[in-house]
Amino acid sequence: MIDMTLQIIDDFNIIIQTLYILLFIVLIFFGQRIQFHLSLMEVGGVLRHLAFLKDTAIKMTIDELKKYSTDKDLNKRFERLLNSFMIMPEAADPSGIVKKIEHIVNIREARFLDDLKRLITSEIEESKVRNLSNMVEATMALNIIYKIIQHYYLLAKKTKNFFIMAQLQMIVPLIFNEAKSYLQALNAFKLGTPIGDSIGPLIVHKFIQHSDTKTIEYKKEYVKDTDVYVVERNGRIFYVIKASGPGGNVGKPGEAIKKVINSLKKKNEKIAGIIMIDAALKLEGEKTGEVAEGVGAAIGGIGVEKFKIEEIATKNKVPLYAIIIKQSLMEAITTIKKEIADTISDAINRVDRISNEELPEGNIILAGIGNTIGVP
Amino acid sequence: MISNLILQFNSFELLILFAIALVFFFILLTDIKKQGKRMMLINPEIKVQLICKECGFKEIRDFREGDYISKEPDEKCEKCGGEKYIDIIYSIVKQEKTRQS
Repeated sequence: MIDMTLQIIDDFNIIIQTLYILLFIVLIFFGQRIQFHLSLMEVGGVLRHLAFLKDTAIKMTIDELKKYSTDKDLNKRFERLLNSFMIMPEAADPSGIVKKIEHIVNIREARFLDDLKRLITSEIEESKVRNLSNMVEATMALNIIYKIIQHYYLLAKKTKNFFIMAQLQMIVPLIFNEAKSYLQALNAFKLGTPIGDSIGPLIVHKFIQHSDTKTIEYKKEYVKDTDVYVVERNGRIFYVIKASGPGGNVGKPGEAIKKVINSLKKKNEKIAGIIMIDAALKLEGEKTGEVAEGVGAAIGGIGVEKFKIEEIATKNKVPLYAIIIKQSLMEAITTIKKEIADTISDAINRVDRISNEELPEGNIILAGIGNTIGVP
Repeated sequence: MISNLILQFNSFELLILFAIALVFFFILLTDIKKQGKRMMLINPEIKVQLICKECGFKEIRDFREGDYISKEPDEKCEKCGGEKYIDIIYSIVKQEKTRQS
């Protein structure tokens, strides 16, 4: 009996050992292929979620557009808008490229807005059109994210390329978070609430409304989509620049700053400095709503407005000061969080300190940079 | 007979194998749970802070479509009956109030 039991144990041990060796051989020769299929499953799962986010965004945007449109071809025309694109100018000869980019961007913006207005058959406010255009742009961003991830997924699957799949696997969690942010942003654009990126225009709006500030002049649409307020505060003159609200709009702050500086120069008036307030992406671990000061042009986007500000400031030797309010991408494009909104008084105090302590005599240009949605 | 066999066949090794399998199972479960959390969409509460122009009384209510900063809605102050304006609009994120995507 004991002999028989020992025999079974021996046989069992041999089976286990053979299995171990087999597993070892399988992992040596097919390890990468197994890993490839595991990655394929993971990326495929994320891609399905991305498709869900994209479809939800499309549905939300079409539903919102339907409220203001009786167009029977709305779905078709919306799809055409969704798949529209912009070709950037040739960069092989970079001389004068910013002007070319500006030209292309202006054409794109005008055509996009015109196409959208053609979709809308009811009479609605301009601010609502702007919010709808923001919704369509967020949907476009989601659509392009999905298309790019799907392209690399199918390419890796077709060519059985482990390295494309490995790179995709590494990047999809970050991409998915970005896509989620765009979907959440749609809700803010639909409702017309201020977003995290609106903190720049919001601070300058509160600066104008402040009890210690006296408005001297208001120049609506000073340049396209941008307003300028001439105000007096603590005995100093401020030219406050912000995009025209409360619709979702970033305006042309670079063009406005250029025009203000040129007009002040014509009148032989001194320009003490430019203070720019903008939202900035925080690093992981940094606190949301942290305010920081620095120098330079605090403005994002494609680079045209930044170039204009830097060029005019350098030409006229005007110091550039920047105040930034830190936040994540998700916070920047969704309804403004309390922690961000609570930085308004701190930022205004910093503007006062810079203007009183650091800037010499002369006019000050204060620019609130960002999307002015929900802020008039 | 079987229990005897198991006892004789390196019961310690079996225990280790079982423990390893259990650990992997829990890692997998945690990973699936984390993945589910990643896929969740946060549904924030949007609040509006109104201030009375006359007495400065502050009131907080839920956001209504059409609200924007500095708007003067047709609402009277609870304290003095004066005109109110929207001072600030902000969101509060409550993690428990989430919906699955």
